Amino acid sequence: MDTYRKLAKISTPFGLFTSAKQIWKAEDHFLISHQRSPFLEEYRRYYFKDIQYITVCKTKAGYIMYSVISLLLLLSLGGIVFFYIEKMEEGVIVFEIISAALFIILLFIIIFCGSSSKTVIKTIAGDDKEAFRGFYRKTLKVVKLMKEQITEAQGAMPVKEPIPPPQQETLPGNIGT
Amino acid sequence: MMPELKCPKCQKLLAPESIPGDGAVTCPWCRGKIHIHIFPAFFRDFEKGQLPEKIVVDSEAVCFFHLEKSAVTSCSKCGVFLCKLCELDIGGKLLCPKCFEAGKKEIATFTKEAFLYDELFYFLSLIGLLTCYFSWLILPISFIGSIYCWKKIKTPYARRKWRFVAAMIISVLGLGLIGFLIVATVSGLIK
Repeated sequence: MDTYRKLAKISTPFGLFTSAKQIWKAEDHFLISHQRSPFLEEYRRYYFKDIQYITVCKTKAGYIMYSVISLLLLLSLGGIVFFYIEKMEEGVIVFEIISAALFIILLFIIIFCGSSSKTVIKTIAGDDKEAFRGFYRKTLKVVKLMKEQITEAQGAMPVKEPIPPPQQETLPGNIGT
Repeated sequence: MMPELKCPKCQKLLAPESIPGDGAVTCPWCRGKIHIHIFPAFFRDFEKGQLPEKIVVDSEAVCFFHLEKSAVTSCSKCGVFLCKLCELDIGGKLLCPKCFEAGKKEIATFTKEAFLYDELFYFLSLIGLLTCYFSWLILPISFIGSIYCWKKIKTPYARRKWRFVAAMIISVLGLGLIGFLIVATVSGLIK
């Protein structure tokens, strides 16, 4: 049986609604586990020697989450001002302050983690399917760790043969001069 | 064959000259920034499997599944002779297709999904604690199920058992509370 070591846990900006993916490292492959339903987990294996390329690109999920939380924060702040002017009960104002504080914390977390990203791993045998989604900065760190393992297994990149420069045709009149 | 690389955003092919070996590139189609890491396997073709050889003399050992092909090895589980086409190298063990199919679920390398019993009983124990009317039924199920399925989880990695432990503790505490309430009601402590 392969012994797996946990490499990372990747979650998306919508982490509250979707489960995180876990990346495990074995002797010769990566295992990506994903909880498809509350009680069922599915796995994908990527063998070091078969990985052709990894691409990471930014997605809009982070920006959407950022906009939604900013809007909720603005509404909470507006609520505090409104209830203060209207001289509502203290409890209502305290509730608004607590929700505004929560939104500020969430906003800071999202700003700190960076935008969201999508990672694709292409293997020789497989199609280039999306491997995982997660925060951009963390994804780049994880990909760096994965890259080290793959490079160790596959060795250095083949050196591209330099294209020889086109030989200049010698004009017949120049021979011997 | 020239290897191809698609933009993960727009799924359009990127020109080979625009692909860096390692670094960021802007897709000419969708203008999206992509981080690309290319490895030597990118320039390697899919390796084809070896073909079996035909038997030359009658006394030669033949494959159990292909009588006209010469055997090169034997299955490490059932012992039948196998040709190059039938031998399956699974984690250093050579298996025949039948043994492979029979034991596919047992081989960790081929586990595609696993049922998480620990999540189920942990969830049940919490539900049992919250739903007063069915606690007497759900909590014992959660407790017994946690013990019964302790070793039944077939995840490829060593999964921690804290959910089972938590489910058992919650179940015991919940049942203890129910017992206390019954005794207190019967003895007249709670009116």
